[in-house]
Amino acid sequence: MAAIIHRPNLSEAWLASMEHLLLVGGKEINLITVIDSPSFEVLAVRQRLDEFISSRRSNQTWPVSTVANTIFPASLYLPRLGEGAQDHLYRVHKEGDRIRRRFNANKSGTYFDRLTAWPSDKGECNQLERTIRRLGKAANRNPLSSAYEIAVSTPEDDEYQAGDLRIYKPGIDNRTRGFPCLSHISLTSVKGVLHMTATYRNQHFISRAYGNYVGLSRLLGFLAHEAELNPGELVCMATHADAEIRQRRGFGKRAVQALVDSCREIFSDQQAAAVERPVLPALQLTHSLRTQ
Amino acid sequence: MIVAELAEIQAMERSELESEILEAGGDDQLEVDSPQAEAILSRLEAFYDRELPGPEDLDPEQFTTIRALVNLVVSRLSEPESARGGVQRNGSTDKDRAA
Repeated sequence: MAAIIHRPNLSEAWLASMEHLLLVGGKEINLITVIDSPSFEVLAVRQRLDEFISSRRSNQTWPVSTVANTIFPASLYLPRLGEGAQDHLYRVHKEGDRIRRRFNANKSGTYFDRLTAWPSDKGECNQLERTIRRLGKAANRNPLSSAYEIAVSTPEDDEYQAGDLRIYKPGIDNRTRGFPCLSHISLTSVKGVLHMTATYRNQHFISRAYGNYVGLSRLLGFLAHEAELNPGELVCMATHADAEIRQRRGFGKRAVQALVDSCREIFSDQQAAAVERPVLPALQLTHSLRTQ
Repeated sequence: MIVAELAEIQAMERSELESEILEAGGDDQLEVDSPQAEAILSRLEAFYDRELPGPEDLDPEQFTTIRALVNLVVSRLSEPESARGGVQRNGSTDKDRAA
């Protein structure tokens, strides 16, 4: 039943979540992973996971970077463009639509598509643009404001408040499996720090979770930067968490255990574990300047 | 053309990107990630007015580099169908333009 994993960075959080899942037989209901500083990861862990995935590649597995790009295509966000950075990101991403959608896994679009082009009766709605605008206004009006989320509105409603990013669209997302596994993102701004909580109806911890964390962390960094806030913690709640240890539709328990053990060894090597890198390098300087 | 489009996508001067390519050790070394590659291929499709392969057609273990993208585009344009329309609107050939 419900479990909470709380770790300082993205890589340790993923590893501890995996260890928990293996302890309880590979699956958990309501696994809550709290990452204090999601902007940082231990690169060696990602490399080990990527090697594992690429050696067992199937139609449903991709490198961490590919999974992360479905949530936030970081290479298209250029903070040095200042006020033009958002437009550049949305425009270039949109340009790639017709190529991207030819890929089977993207037939229903990506998470970033849902965030920037939410399908509504009134046309497409850019949830990120609206959220940044409202976050900025709220921060100026009352720097102490915290959660301002209303659960009954939808992005196309005029009274829709920032803090609530929708992925799941009733009436369109009727499949019981597959996209979208991420259903909802909640934002909370307190004392100039923006925190994020993401809810997954189903999260696969080998083929997706690490990339999910990287993508969400980049999204958090982007939102915080554009709203002139500092990025805070990332909480991921998997209502159904799966370590993918089954032989036929997973990677096998022995192989997954060996992967986890080898990642744990990284943390016993102080030198390797000390090599952290920001998941959104372009923002590193900006964030450190803002905290001074 | 791919270099020019990548430079625009990265909001930098073409000469700046060419320096980066040199610094990285050549066009088979500088990595282009999927979102960038998708935008580039989309622009090339509009230019050539024909369907090109997507980044997923590259070997998954292969870095997507400028060279890999050029090869991908040229191989598609070299297929029989393109032979009928090898000369483009501005008179240049497929290979000239892709690189």
